[in-house]
Amino acid sequence: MSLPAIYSFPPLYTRQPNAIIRNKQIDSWINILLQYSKIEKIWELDSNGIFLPNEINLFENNTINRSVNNTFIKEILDRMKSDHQIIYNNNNETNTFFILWKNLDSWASLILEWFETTNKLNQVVTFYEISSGDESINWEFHSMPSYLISKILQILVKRGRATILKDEYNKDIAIKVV
Amino acid sequence: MESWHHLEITTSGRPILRENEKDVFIDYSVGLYHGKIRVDDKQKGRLFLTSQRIIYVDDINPLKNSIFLELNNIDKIDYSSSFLKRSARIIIFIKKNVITKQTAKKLYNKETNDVTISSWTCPICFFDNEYKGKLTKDISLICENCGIPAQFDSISESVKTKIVKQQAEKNICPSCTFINHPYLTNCELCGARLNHSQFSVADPNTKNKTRTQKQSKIAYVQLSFRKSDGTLFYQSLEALLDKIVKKDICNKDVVTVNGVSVNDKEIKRFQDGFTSNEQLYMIQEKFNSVGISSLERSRENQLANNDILFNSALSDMNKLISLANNIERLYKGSNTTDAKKPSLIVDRDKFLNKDLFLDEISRDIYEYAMTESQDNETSNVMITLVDLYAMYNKAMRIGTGFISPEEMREACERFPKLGLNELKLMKINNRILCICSTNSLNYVTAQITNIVTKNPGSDILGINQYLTPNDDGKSNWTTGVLNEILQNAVNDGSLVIDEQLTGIYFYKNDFW
Repeated sequence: MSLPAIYSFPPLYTRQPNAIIRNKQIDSWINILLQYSKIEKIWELDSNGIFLPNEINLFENNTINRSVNNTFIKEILDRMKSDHQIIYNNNNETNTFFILWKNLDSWASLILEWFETTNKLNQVVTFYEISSGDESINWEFHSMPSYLISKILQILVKRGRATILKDEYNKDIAIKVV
Repeated sequence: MESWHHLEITTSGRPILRENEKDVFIDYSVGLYHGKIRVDDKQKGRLFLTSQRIIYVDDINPLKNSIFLELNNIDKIDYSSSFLKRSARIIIFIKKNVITKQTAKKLYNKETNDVTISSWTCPICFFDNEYKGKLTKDISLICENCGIPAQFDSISESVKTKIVKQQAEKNICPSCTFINHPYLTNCELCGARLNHSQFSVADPNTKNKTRTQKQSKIAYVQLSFRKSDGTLFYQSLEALLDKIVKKDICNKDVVTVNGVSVNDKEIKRFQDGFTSNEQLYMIQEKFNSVGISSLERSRENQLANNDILFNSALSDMNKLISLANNIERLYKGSNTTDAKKPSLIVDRDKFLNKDLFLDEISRDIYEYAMTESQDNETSNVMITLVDLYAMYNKAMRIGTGFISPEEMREACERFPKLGLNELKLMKINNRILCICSTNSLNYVTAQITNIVTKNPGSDILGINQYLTPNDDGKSNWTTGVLNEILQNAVNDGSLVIDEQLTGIYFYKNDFW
């Protein structure tokens, strides 16, 4: 994908001393990250802001020889955390984040919409079907990690629209939306 | 007021001195009287005593009301102390032979008068001598060449007379022989004081008045000292006048010629010196009694003697050093093409209190900063106080010694109080004190933003180079100032930075 013009603006890579400007600078960064992950369908990034699983590092720009130092990356990620644009992946021990270019509620609504349009209501649907099935290919949440899907579907459960079914290892595996 | 002349002053309200002119003393809150009449617009000002003039600089309207009086025109001075509400005064009597304008005109009209010149031949060496006027027996004739007096009888044959039409005496400069306009009081070329022109140029205000004899009868002016008692001024003026009178006398310090005393005053001083020494000796003798107290006393005396000795030695050394400094400055000055006018030397000793001293220093700094920034064509001054302090103290100022940073700051804070409005003390980014002209900060910021827009990613060095287009390598802007301005621009968000190992680069804030 083509990155915005600001991506090759050297001051973007230096933490600006002026607080107002810095806020805008962080906004620019968040914007770049979200846009990139949305287009490239990237769901996860590690604590250093490197996109998983292909280890793409947007914070390093080799064409203009600039990179953001770690403390500033932390600051950007902290901001995303507090704005719920990334959430902890507490599925595994490694310290990684899910990146959400839509917030959790919108994701939940989108999945619900999928259930309705594909007539999957009152059926048991596995998480695998949602993320990797043929019927979800043109939907935005296609290829979403199943742990993230279960997190989103918890919202539907809370709304009283769904029940989650567990497998023999007590792991969420499928859902039935009513 | 015809003996007073209008004065040129600098922007900071200090008089412009002539060549070879030195200031001696300054007094404050002085009013002028002409005869017995108050001069209304000249009642509160500073009075400078220089080696050539008495200068009055008005506090309220220094450009218009500042005047000076030539010391050469002073006949004598008198002092009258303060009494009840009357403040102390110095009465200055103006010389009677101050030529009025009419006579000056006559001189200028090239009126010719005939002069008889006689020539005679020396019988010893046959040199043709000339003598103004007619030769008679009574005149003692000495040959200019061999110095042997000649008898009138022996030369009477060789006497020739001729009548020469000579032009009226012109205003010839005593030091460079340039013939000046008769109205001038100082040589046009070298600036030396002209002996001949003792007439004054009339004040434009009084031009229409007829110059009657009566007016010139009240030939005295008064200086009224409102704050001080004026004695110091009087003493220094007296000393100066005495010096001026003596200046033209050849061998003025000679005491005796062929054992005959010629200079009473010098002898007296000489003798005084002896007697005072004697007295000291006497005192010493007197205490030469017994006991510890006498020992102590003799020790004290010894110390006092040493003190006197050292003082004189030190003052000699100081003189020598100042002379050396003078020479050094002359040497350095000869390299620069533009001759600088002598500036007032601010000396701590001349001021009655610190307040007045700071006032004067303030003017001096103002003037210095203004002249330093003159070649900067936009005439925007901006300099950090630290830099100015270093520059100011580095500039050779004989007699002043150094001023302290506190004094510098206090002096700079006085600019608005003294009516020096071109420069002000500004605090940039709440930490750096700068001396700058009123709109220089905005000007420089705009300039820098411009440069950064044209050349994104400039560092401070690059900006400095762009700011000074002439490539002589010298910059009008110090890095410290630029740094502060850039910091300021970054803080208000017009510029953004790109910090690298090689330095900080500046960009215009296009995105945020």
